[in-house]
Amino acid sequence: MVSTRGDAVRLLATDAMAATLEDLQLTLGEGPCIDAANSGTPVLADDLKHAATGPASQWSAFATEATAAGVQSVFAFPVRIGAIRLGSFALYRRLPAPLSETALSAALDSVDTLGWLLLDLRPDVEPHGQGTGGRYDAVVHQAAGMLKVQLDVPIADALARLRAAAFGEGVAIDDLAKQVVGRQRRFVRDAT
Amino acid sequence: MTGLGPTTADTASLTRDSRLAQRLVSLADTLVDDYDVVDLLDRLVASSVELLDVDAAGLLLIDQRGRLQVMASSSEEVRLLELLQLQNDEGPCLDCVRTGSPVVATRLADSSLWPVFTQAATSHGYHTVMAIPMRLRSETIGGINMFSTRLHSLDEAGLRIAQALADIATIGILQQRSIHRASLLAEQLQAALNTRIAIEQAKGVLAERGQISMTAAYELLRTYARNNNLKLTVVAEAVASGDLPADRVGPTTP
Repeated sequence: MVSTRGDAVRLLATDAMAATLEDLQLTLGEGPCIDAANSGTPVLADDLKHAATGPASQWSAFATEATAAGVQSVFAFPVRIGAIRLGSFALYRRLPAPLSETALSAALDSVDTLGWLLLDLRPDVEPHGQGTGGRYDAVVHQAAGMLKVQLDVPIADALARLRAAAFGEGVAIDDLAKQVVGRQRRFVRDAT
Repeated sequence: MTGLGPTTADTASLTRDSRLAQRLVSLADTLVDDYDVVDLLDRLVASSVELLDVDAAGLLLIDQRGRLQVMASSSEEVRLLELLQLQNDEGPCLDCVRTGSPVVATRLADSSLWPVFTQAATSHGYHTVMAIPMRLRSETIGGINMFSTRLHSLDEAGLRIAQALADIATIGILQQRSIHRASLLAEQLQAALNTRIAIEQAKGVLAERGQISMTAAYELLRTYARNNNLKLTVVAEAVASGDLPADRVGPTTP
C-alpha cells in the first residue's frame, strides 16, 4: 500500500508467508506488487520458477526468494481510483497455475471495493461510515477534479471531501457533484 | 452533359468514401503503437458520428462481472441515455448486446418495446436509434449505438461501415489480449475503466482552472496528449494527480 506520504507500507496480510513476501518486495524494491502499483496494470505471474521471460524476469531476486518460500505463482492488482493510487493487492499461490476466469473476476471485484474502503481508511480523511463499494458516476469524478483546484488539495482528499460533505448534508453524492459541476456550489479552503 | 463528370450522388458518396478512408487510416495508426483503449474508443465514437451522419453515438462494453459499462460517448446527453437503459434494464442497445444482432429503430415514437427509454430519447429530440454489436466469434463484448434526431435509417453501405467500426473497436480491445493471454480482456477493461475515471478527474481540474466546460477541458487533454506524443491516460493521470500543472495544459493565451 502507498501511504499518504507516498511511501509504501504493508497494510494487511492473511498469513505470515504473505507478510514475508510483501516485506521482501519492500526490502528489495522490486516485485509484482510494486510493478502493479506503478504501472496500473495487473501483474499475473503463474510460474515463478520458469520465469526467464514475462513480468517475473524483471524481478529475479524476488522470484528466487518466493519460490524458496514455497510460492510458485503471484497475482498482483493495482488499487486505484482514477489518478488516486492506493497501492496493490496480491494473491500468492503454492501451485504454478493461472487464475481461473471466475477467480480473476472475483479478484478484480475485490480490488474495486478495496479502493473505496481504503479511501475512508486513510488517516487524513474524516471517517463517515459511507464505505460502500461500487463505482460513482462520471460527474462525481469531475467534481472531485474541480474540488482539487478549489481546495488546493490532492485529488484523493478532494474526493473524500466531496463524499464527506454529501454525507454530512444528507444528500446523494451525485446530486452534490452535479451542483459543483454546474457551478452552483463551490468549496472554500479551510482557514489555516 | 450526362456522362461527363460525377453526379451529385456520386460526389456525395465519394466524399464519404474519402472521409472513411481517412478515418480508417487514422484508426489503424492508433492501433500500431502502444495505444490507449479509451482514446481509441473515443475516436471511434467520434468517427461514427461523422461518417454515418448521425447526431450522437455511444459505446458499451461488458465488464468482468457481466455488467455493461458506458465506455465512450460523443456527448453527455448520450451517456445519460445509455445509463438510463442500464438502470431500467431496457432499450435497443441492451437488446443488441443480448442478441448479438443489430437493432434499428427508425421511428422511436411508434415503438412500444422500451417505454422508459423511448420517452427519454424522444424528449431529447432523438427519433432514430441504431445499435451495432461488437462481436468476437460467438461472444458479444459490447455495442456501438447511434442516435439521430431525424427519421433515418442507414443504407446497406452505412450498416457495413457501422459494423466495420464496431469490428475495429473489438480488434483494438482484443489486440493486446492476443499478445499475452486469454484473460487480459478483464484486466484491460479494469484499466480502461480506471482511465475513464482519471480522465473525468482531469477534466474537472482543467474545467475549474480555466473556467471552461467539461467538453472544452477534454479537448485540451486530447490536444496536449497528441501534441506531446503522450498517451491520454498518462496526461489525464498527471493532470489529476497534479504532477502536470493544469496551466501547462490549459488554453494558451492569444
